[in-house]
Amino acid sequence: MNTQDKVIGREKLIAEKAPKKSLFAFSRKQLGIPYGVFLALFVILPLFLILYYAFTSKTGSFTFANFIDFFSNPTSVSNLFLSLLIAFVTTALCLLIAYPVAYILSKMKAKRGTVLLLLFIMPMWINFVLRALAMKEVMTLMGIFAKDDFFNFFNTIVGMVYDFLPFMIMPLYTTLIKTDKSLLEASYDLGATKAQTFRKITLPLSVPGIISGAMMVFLPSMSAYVISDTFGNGKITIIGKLIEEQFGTGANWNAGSAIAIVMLIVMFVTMLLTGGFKNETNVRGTAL
Amino acid sequence: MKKLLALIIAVLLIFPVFAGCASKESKKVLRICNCEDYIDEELLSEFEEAYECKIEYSTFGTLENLYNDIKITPDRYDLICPSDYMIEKMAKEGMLQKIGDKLTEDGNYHTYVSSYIDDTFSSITWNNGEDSLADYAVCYMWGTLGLTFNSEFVDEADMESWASLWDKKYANKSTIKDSIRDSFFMGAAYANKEELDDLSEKFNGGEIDLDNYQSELLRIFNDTSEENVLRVEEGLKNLKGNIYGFEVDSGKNDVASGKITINFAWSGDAVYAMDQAEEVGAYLNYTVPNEGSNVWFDGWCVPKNAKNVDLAIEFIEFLSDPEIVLRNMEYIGYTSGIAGEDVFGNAIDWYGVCTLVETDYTEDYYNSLSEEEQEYYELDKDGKVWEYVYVEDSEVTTITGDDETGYTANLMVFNEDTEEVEEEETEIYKVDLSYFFGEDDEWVIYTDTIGRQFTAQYPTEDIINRCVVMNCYDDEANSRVTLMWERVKGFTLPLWAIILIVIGICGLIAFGIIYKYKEKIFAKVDLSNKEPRRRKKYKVVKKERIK
Repeated sequence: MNTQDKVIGREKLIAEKAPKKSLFAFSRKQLGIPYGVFLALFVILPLFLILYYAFTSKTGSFTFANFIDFFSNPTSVSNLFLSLLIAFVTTALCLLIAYPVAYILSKMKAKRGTVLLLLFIMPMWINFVLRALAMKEVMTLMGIFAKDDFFNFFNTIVGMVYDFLPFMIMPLYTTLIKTDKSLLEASYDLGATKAQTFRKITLPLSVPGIISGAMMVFLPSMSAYVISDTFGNGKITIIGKLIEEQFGTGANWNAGSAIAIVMLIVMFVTMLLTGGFKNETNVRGTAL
Repeated sequence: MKKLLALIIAVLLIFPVFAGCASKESKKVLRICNCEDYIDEELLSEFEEAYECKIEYSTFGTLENLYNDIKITPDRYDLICPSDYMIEKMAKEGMLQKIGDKLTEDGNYHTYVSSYIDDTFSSITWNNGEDSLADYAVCYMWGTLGLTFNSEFVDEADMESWASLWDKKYANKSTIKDSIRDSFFMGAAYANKEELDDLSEKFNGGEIDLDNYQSELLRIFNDTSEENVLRVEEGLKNLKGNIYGFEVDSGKNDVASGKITINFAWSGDAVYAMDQAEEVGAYLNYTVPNEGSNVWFDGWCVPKNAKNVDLAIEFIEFLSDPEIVLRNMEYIGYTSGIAGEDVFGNAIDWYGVCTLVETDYTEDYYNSLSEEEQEYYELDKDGKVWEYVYVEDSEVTTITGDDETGYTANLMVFNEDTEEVEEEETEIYKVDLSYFFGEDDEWVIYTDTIGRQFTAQYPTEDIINRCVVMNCYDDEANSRVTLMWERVKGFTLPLWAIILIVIGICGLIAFGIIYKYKEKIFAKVDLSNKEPRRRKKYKVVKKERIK
């Protein structure tokens, strides 16, 4: 309440000072309206629709059956865990690859670093379905494609990592480049080795970047079924695909919505645990 | 609050302006929704010009998307193009209007439509026979389901059965559709192979007639009982390990490029794959296995709340003009439901076997022709010009043989090496398409290749005899088949794997919590360690001082 009053007070002050109000002088509140409307129409409303469908049967009566069906079906539950596994392995690999890259980039001279960063980000400008298809052809040429079930799984992971890597590099790079250089200097002055400085200063300071990057990889890779379909030859089913099938040929919106809610809860829990709701971690995609 | 109100009013004021724009347009608008790549889009602008209207053309990805679209906004389109089972489903739910009696008897569609298509559309009925497909839809394209294969790597005899997909010989060399209904259909053929083979034998031996055979096939292929679904599931689960993968779109390119050798395909895609393969010098074949298969139809329908029904009907008639049909067929590769002399003549042009006939043309005349025109002629080393003529029209060729032994013809063939025209005896095939083009006349095509584009476009009568339509499943059957498909596509993780993953996740969460609250948790430990640490540091400093 207090801060709000302050804001309003400041606005009043500005309004009094300005003799004529310009046509474009909107208050912060007013500027927020379009986004608010957008949010309500395309985020909140659909969410309620999903909730409605998830808890009703086809005839429209209230039921938990959709959830019971999902959790009593070993295949569905396996799919959920498989998706979690794929998402986790993808995130871990992305982090392993992206961290050194982002670290080196952040140490470079500004100009060269930006150019190199651009090279890493550029693939994102091409449609990801196209990229996936191209990558699949390359892998086929290399002869590492679709030999057995393990390869389908392995290739799916490769595809996911390939596709989501820029999403990990970006936030890491932005946090690393913002690291206060004087802290590093202080650490060296106090006799710490490079490894110690990295462990005690750089790594802890980049945790927000790691979390934000992990979120941006983990959550979409649970549902990016175009990639699992392309790289797994349709033999790997992740949870996004299940939802698609229920809304498609299955023609069962209720079951599809229930799966969507389960996925939503998984995402919510991950966000909660990694502190994704906190403001300080809000560094994603600053340079995009 | 006032500002907000003003904003809302402003937004509301803007909307009628947009609506006004639409109504001011003097031209009529026809809103069409079709499958992707399913029409020669030049035809659309031609129609716009001829009928002084505007076409808003859009496409859908899957039939289910189209269904959802119409369900949510019933007045979104004036003309849509779903498949047989979806037409039935939409009609049953009251989403379509009857258009059967809106097409006049002397219009293009009724004049030229194939009697086979007409009969089949009338025979697919529901609602105790009160409604039929013919009431709601007008046939656009039709075809079969079969196997496209590369005969260089695949034994042709094997391809006469769906079971070849399960054969270890072709492990990792085939793809099937990532489409529940089509793959269920194929699975049903495999699960009921013995019964189907038995039926086919009986039918060929004359023990049962066509009607009986067809109704038995219909029953078997559309059996969605728990027991049959489970048997299909078992078959498909075994198949999963033997195939290269599931696809809906990439298979036709993969089989053309040689990545796979067998592709479970729709006939139109088969034509596409064969054309593609020819460009890189590979020859593919198409076959419909003996157990039986699916014949499908796509039709134009008018949604219940369509705004411009008359224009939609005009468009259907426009598309049914044989000349337009031919252009469209050449563009998309599927087969139209329109028959008639022109379409038949075109089939002869494409697939009929030709012989060379001597002409009076001079060498100079031949050389003056464009390259495209020259393809109809050959110039031999003596400077004589020969013209390609369809065997039945040429007076120099005789066709001998009968249905039992097959046919041969003495063809005049151009030898590229010697540049001479020689006589050659060639085996040719007689394909009777009377079932499609009409029974009152003889509709026979002599062709020299069988099992390729021609078979995919115009299957022979015995292929048609063993093909049936796929019914529209009811809700219960649909969810049963969907769940079956989910089990086939996914796999059940063993219990230990689930436990491992759960432990892993719990471990991670625990680590996260500990990391987050480490100061609180380790606070006491830190205190107890404080003193010895200080002492150590002190000692070090002391030593340095002594130095």
